[in-house]
Amino acid sequence: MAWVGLIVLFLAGCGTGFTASVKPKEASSSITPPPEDTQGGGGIIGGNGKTGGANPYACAAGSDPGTRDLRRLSRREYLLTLQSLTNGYADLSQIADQVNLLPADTVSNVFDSTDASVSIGHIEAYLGIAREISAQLIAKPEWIRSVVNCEYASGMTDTCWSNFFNGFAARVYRKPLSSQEQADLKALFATEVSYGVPAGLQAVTMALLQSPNFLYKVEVAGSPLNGREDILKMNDYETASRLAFLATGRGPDAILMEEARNGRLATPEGLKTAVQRLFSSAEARENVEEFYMQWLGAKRLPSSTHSDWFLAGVSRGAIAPESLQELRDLTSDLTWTKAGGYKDLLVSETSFVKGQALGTIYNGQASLPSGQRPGVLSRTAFLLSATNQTSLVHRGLLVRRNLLCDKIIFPTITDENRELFQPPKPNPLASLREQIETRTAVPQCMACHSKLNPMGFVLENYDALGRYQTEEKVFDANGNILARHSINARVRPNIESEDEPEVDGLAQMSEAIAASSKGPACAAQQWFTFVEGREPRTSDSCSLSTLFDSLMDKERVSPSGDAPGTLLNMMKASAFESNFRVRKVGPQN
Amino acid sequence: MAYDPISRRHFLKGLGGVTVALPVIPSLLPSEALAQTAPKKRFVAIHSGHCQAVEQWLPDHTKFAWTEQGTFARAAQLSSIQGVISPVLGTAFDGLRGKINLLSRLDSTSVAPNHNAEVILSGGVKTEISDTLDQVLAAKLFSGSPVNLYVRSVFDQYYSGASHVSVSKGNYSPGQFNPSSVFKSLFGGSTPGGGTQPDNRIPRRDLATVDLVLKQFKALRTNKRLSKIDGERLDHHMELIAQTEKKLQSTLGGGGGGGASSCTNVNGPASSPVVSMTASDYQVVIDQMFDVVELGLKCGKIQVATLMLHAYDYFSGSVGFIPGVSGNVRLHEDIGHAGTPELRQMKLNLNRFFGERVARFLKNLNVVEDAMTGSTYLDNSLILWANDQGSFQDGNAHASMNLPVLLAGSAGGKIKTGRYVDYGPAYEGINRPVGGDEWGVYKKGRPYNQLLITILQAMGLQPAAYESATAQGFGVYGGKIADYAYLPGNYRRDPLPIIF
Repeated sequence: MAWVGLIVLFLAGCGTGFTASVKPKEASSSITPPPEDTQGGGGIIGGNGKTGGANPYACAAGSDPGTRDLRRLSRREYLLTLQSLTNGYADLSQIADQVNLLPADTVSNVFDSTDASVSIGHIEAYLGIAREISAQLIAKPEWIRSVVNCEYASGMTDTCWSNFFNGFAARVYRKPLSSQEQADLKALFATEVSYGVPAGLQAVTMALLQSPNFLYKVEVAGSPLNGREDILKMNDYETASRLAFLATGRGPDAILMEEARNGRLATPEGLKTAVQRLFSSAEARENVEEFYMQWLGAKRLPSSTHSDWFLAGVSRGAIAPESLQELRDLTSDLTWTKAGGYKDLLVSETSFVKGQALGTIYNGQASLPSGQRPGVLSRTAFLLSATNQTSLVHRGLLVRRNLLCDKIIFPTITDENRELFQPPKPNPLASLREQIETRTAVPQCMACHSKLNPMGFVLENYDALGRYQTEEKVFDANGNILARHSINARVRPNIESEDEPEVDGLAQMSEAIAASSKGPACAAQQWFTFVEGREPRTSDSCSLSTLFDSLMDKERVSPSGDAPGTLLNMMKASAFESNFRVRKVGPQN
Repeated sequence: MAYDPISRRHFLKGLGGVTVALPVIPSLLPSEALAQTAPKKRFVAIHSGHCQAVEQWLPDHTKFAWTEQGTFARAAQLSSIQGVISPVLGTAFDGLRGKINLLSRLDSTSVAPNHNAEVILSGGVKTEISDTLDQVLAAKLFSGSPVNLYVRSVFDQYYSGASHVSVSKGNYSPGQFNPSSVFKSLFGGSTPGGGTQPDNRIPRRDLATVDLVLKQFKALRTNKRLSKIDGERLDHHMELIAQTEKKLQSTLGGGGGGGASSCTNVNGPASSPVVSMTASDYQVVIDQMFDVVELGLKCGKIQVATLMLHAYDYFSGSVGFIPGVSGNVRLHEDIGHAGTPELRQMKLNLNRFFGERVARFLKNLNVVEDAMTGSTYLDNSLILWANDQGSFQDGNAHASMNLPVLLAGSAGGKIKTGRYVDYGPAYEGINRPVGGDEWGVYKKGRPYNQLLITILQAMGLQPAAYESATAQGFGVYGGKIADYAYLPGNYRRDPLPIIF
């Protein structure tokens, strides 16, 4: 084992201008794994010592799965589920003020879904949105008719209630309602029915939409596995819920609820049918697209503050939308059309340039020049910086954190060691590579920057917009050229080992990442994190091992029937791996 | 822009301005006014970050005389300063000198403070504390949470959505970046359902649904198949629901603080230009933030608030859209570090911009709230304006010492105002590291914690309410705290002398 997965970083003192922006969010109220159950990539990838493309996860037969905590729906899941439940009868865009009050999920490293915190802002937004959505719904008699499916003018009959509870309410709760839950909702209805049935249903709907059964992924109804009370085999409704969020990023639709009710999800064939149906939907494509955007850091593309002379005719307002569209098109093509694998993601030179801005950035070429645009790392959506200067260290950070799953944390700065982190002043006319090397030359900085910098240096063949360059120009504020430097993109990448041979440029580095164990292992881990809403632990190694094999093993028969060793196969594999239907309850004290 | 500042001004005039001009004759006041209790105190923190230049912030020491002396502290009357108080605190503060304090040489003892509002609310950073000052005040005095507003990053290069304003239970408490939305949540937006309904029907129905939701959470909490973490999450969620429940109950009970009966049909910002800000948008958003908080304070809708006048991740993007700043300059690297005269001038322009808005906010609050005593909203509040760093000449010093602090209002007479107080002991001959001029190269003063403790106690909290059995004092006591052991009394727990 030669690589180190934990990088301690102090960019501020090393003068590269990042400071808090790279500080990872500490485990919030969310996860505090036991010490023996390491959280995060560095401690898990390479657990069995394998490198060079072999499966690096140590999966011990018969070991317990990782614990699953009670998690709220992410902001995105919540809104998508609401949209799905209201089925066009309510319009979230009409209540933008209430929706805006719902706090954004604080970004923790890569994926929004890992934020499990709840604040008063959430509670008030849940209430406000429930109030407004239910008002929209009851204003439409056709919605009421669709959910009660009875004659309700003179009151809610048993039939009306039964239809409502078994249909709409069960979809909101993602399970059948208990008799107590039904009685409580009827009692609430009674307090408002003097204003009419719609008013009563509004109160009931408001309560449903604030319930823990809606807001949280509740998985407590399973049966003990092998007599273990702390390991539960989830029931069919819980399975349906997990499956729906996995594939579509929202709660189950009516068809899936019906399949759960009929027990079809309990059979391998039924599960396979459901997986294929869900992954064939537009919602699944949207969900997978979201995964790529967050994984590759494109979700937070900077606004352009480049100088006009630097843009040189590139339409400022078109850069972000066109580059995001290209990344969507490329990942979609590889995932859904070409049955692409992990390596394709890193080396594909397929072009999806559709607009003037990106066309200009890519030098107007319809087909990309060989070697200049290998894979996602070479595209503007990954490379774009806010200012005229390339965000060299940030690029390196993205590669190490998002593509290789290294953990980036701050060292402890004290009065005693503060001086050690003071960087020397670089020559402003030197190349950016030289400047960064100067600013990070002290040993305390190099502890991290020896990993980050090479990834950034390799990408110096692309300027702040992502234009390919063989020469770096140093400008003054008015665009006058003060100095020129040939790009030196030769580095020792240190992906899995410090002894790796040098690479020269992105194409060679992408090949090296694709040939490593660490790159695809990280891809598996990022998919796991996206769908689980938490970073994996060592106890998740078996799940990760399955994902790795489904992504990389071209010979392994796929339970979904998809081509083995592909991106889509890995995504679907989550639903078939042995721990998918199992919930391990975390420590109780 | 649907927001109509003129209408809002009319409202504010009606609320307070007219009262100022009337003589206060108790015998002519209605009996219910006589029966009123003292107005509730309020607290607002305003954070402008990334370093203030001390030479731009503090007065020129040749333009006044020290007239008051305490132990390791000295003070001058702000009214005695010739000309403007300082380059940053210009003429906008002239009418406020009697209602504010300017405090110097209060030091963070944290070893690595950042540029977020949490620094001025704790003296340190999130990883070092459980709850910031605003959270403690809101929870202990009002059983609620503070309103947190911040300016959303328009650059969004690294993160978005997160507000690093305030810390609750060790985590950032999400804030709001849209003043219009906050206004609507405080003063009501659309009326759902339509029709003719009694005014209190909606809160009553809301309360009924929230009651049931709380019951559902409690039922789930009893499930044996939850882990400790699961249980803690549900407990926290239930605590927050209970807060909402209490708020709804108070709405039904007709409460809402002083002046609530006048606070109907309030005009506020209908929308906020929070996306892709231009210079004028930025000004509008900042002004709206202050306006909404002002309205909230006056109408009893806000008791505790924190405003962060920038996004925490303004590090690498250009902030040329900020008035007084031009070109492709960055808030942190360029204006914060301010390595050239041009950049220091931009820093001054930016802080004047903030100062003018703070002054306007304070003046708007300085209208009579309590007709019996003639005290103003400002008198009954504490408004803290501070920066996370104070540096002399060189922003590269990254000095979390000598934090620039302006404290306005008196918390109902608990704080003595009108002073410029220097808490640096060097002039008394104590053998501390000294150098430079009067307030140049740093000379140690007092822990910033003492300001936090002053605020807590002025607002009415006793140490038992904010201290724990294992941690005396309040806020972050970092590695540098031992340097202050020379101070008399208990340097961890005492409030500031002279003003308290």
